[in-house]
Amino acid sequence: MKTILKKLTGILLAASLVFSVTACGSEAPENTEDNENANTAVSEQDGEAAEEAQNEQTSQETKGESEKIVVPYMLTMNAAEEREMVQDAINELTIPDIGVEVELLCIDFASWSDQLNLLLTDGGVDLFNCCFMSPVSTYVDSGAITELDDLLEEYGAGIRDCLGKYIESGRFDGSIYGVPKVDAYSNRPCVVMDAEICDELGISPDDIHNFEDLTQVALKVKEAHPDLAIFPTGTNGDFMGPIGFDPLGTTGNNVFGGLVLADNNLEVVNIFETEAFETMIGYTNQWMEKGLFVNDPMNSQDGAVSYLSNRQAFCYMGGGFDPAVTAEVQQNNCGMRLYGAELADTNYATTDSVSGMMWCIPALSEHKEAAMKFLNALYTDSELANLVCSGIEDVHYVKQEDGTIDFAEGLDAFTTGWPSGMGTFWPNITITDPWKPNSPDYYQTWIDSNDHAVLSPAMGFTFNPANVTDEIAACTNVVSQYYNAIVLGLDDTESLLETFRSELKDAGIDRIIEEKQAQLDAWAAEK
Amino acid sequence: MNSRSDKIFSRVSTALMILLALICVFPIVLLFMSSITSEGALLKNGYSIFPEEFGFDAYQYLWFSREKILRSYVMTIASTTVGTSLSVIITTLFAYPLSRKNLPGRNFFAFFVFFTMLFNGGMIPSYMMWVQTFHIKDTFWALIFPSLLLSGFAVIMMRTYFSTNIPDNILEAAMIDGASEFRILISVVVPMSKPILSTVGLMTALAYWNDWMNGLYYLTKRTDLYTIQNLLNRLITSADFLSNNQANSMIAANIQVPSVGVRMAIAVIAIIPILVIYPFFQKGFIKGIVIGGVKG
Amino acid sequence: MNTRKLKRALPLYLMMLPGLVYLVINNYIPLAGLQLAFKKFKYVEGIWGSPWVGLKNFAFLFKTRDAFNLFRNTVGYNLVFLIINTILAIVVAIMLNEVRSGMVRKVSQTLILIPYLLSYVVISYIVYALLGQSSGMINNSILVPLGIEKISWYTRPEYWPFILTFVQAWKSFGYHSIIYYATIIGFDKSLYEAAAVDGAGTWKCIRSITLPLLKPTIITLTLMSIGRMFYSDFGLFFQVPMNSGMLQKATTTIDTYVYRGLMESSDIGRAAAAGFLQSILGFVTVLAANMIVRRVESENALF
Repeated sequence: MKTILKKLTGILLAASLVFSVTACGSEAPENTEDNENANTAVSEQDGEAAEEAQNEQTSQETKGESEKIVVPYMLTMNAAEEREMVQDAINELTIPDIGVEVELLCIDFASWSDQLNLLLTDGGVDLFNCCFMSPVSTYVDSGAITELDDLLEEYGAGIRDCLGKYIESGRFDGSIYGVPKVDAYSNRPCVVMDAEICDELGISPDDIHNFEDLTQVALKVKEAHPDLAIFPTGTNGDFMGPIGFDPLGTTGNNVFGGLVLADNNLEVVNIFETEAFETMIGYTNQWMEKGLFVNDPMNSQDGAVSYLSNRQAFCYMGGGFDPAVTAEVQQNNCGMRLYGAELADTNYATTDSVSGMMWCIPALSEHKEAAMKFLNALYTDSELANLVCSGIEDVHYVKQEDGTIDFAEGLDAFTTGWPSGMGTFWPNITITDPWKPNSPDYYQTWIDSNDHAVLSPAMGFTFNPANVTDEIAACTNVVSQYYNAIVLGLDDTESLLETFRSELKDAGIDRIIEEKQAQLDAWAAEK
Repeated sequence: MNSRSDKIFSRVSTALMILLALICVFPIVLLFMSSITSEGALLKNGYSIFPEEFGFDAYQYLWFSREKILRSYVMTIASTTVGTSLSVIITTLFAYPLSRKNLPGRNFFAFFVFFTMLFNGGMIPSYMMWVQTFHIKDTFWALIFPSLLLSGFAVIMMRTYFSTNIPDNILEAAMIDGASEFRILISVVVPMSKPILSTVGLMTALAYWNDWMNGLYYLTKRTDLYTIQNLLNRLITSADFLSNNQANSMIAANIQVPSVGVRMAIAVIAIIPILVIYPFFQKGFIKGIVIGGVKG
Repeated sequence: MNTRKLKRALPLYLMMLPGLVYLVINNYIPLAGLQLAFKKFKYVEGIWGSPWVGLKNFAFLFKTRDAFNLFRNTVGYNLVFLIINTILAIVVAIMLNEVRSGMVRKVSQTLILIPYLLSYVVISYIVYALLGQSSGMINNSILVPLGIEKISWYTRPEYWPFILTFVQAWKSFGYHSIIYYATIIGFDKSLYEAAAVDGAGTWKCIRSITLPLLKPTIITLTLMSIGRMFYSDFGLFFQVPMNSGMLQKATTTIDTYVYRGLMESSDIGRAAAAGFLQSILGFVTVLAANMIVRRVESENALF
């Protein structure tokens, strides 16, 4: 046995040597003539000087011809058949304007995160949207993405103008690593209801402001329609919304320490131990008891909206900057009339609500300047924004008299060659023409909402979880074990809650909270 | 000969096999019935053999992609045929020497194969290897080479079969007749090993038919090379994505996708390969090989 | 080793060459990635340049109160699966061999492979169709008519060791039995004929010819399963119980823990560490098992 192992180590060593050599060797031909320069720029950690050198060299290079960058684009269905047509149209704009040639790379939503993680290892993309991936902080931590400060300074004036103070949400350890898309950043928890039933029973969305009001309405509906379920699902985190907290960088139900926004201070508390959390459970347990959920809510099979559109439930809980707008958008999807009502009275904006979709440039990209130039154009050039968000005019969409747009003749969401629903993927949908059922000034309401939003006191702070990753892993497992059971009251809630809290403590939730508090304090002091 | 009890044994076996087959068919019926149930009834009552209300939205959704489905079937058949043929050849060539008791270093090589079943370096190094050194990205070969071509499991299975079912003295007799090793493999070993060749062929063919990882990772630009599994996988995830993200109001596409039914319809479609592939390999499962005149 | 012997073995080595080259390229060289288990992965520095962090990546597996539970479940289920799968596969293979009607044999051979082709996601829907509390067939069509109260399957962990074992066996028995079946039909028929002449019935033949001849195959397959003793099928333990938290005691394994734990951060180093630990434990176990086999019956050892 010993000899076998010995031989094996030999082979392994030899093999790994081959690997390291081939890995280096194969990169060379892919680089352009200036690969020497580029490599040093990448490998030098404090590469400001090198970066400058690189800047110089690229700007010289681009004088003559355009620089090609690869930008991945998310696909949600089997459309984008006409990718090349749109790509050509983009290049018609970008090559003369900014000297950048763009290649669009279609990637499925489902494999987005996996594929991008691979592409980041070999510089296969030059600019990407970090949505549905790990938090940006993990990519900062693993050196996958590059600092944008200098690039923004030089080529990103338009981006700065668009984002204003919200650009701070992309700052990690002092530098900006990602820029958020232009969006309605704030969020107010709301409930979206079947309008027909509301009208029938004389329910007005204006009468609902919190869980108590909603409970009364729900009971009223149940009485009138005993066969109809009220709430479709128990397994998503929407119930937590009305508590009004800043999760400080953790997502979904995994709230390991956050700020209670109503308190407007920087004290990190354990949300699961707050009174508000208990009140929320009180309501959901009551709903479960009174049979207001669909059958087997824990095993619900589909998204909440499907239950509504198939008339299997009365309402679902969601978010958005304005309950009425949320309902309106859904109305188009469901093909039925909907009302939206608020479950809290304030629009809060937190770092997390801003930074859901960050645009980043990979550290291994060899065309960082060109990527930034293109990104800047996406934020500012409305012709380009229309192109990526909606396709080509008169091919994919036609302009209506009122300024909105609709599918070109004979096309619909299934048959169009350029996906129409993915506009919000791109950096700035607000400079494009809105789609038909919306009003022509639809996107202006988005922008306006940002002015009324109440900012979390920790706005701009981003948590770096590197020191407590083990605790987060353990706590996440605890939440997945107890959360749904507690919310849906599947067992004795009181004792379950007690176990839940004590297991979280064992798993180290206090360490996470301490770490958050320390980082937050340091951030505040610096500010 | 106590043929009466033999007959009973055979009858009982037949009955039990029919029962087992039925247990395995039940889900297909359930899947199929669910795939033609209306989305509303599915959400209300769950899956059922006797649907409350029929609906064909799921198949309608798939019908939109019919051209692509056909094209991807061609790709699947191509990659399965090429991959399986290559794989069976390499596996046989590898397994036969390993089954020879007098091969110097036999244990080392067996260990060398087995080790690959236990340890793997993860996706990133394999990806870098195949993409940077072999440049298979966005080529047909991406469907053939990474991870599927040779499985340690198949090699060891085949080796065990060779050493269990092919007596040494047959090989020795052939060698005394002056046959080369290659000759022995082709004209003695292979004809005696049809069942295991069929089994390994079947396993490999199923692995190729069912694979979607290779297409996903290595065919980023050439989605026209997608196999049926890539396509179905994409259809399912798109349907799921749309239905789960509508509530986030990120997507304002005016689309209603019957996502539950689509999963079922696709699962039904995905069973087709076994019905297509199996008969090819079944020919190899012939009973009654007689190794004349040899007593172990 | 003398030259003559080597010369005779040369053609054999040549035959193995394509396979060896493939394994080196596809399996051995990428093993360089194993070092990530001990490193903090930095994209810019790559696999080789990333800094070492010692055993830090392994800590998260043991920082939970459930650590013991994770390992116990993983190994426990695998042991039960191994025993049940082996017995079931052999029984089915022998029965298949005894079926006289060619039609039944051919059709049932095909049909029992169907569950193997279904993904665990789809299987989880089938299981739900059976076990759902309000609409499940078992509650509605069996328990209620018998006057037994409905069972809330997805909140009662005590049933799940049996459910998971059953589902697993149902999915894979066809596949495993085909391997044994192929081996059985390859046996020298003259042995059976000689036994029949001596008056041995089917049962006797199975006991004194088939089973002894199957021994090498059983040992090989068992050793191969032992190597994967610390791995669990994520789909079976995550999808089939529909990620129900209340079942976690019975359904959590190393793989589900890692999945849930790293969902937030997709930490490459920690994921590699978990895989490495599973591999190395399996490796040690299989070496020990192989050693025992070698002691008892050296020709059946794997290597």
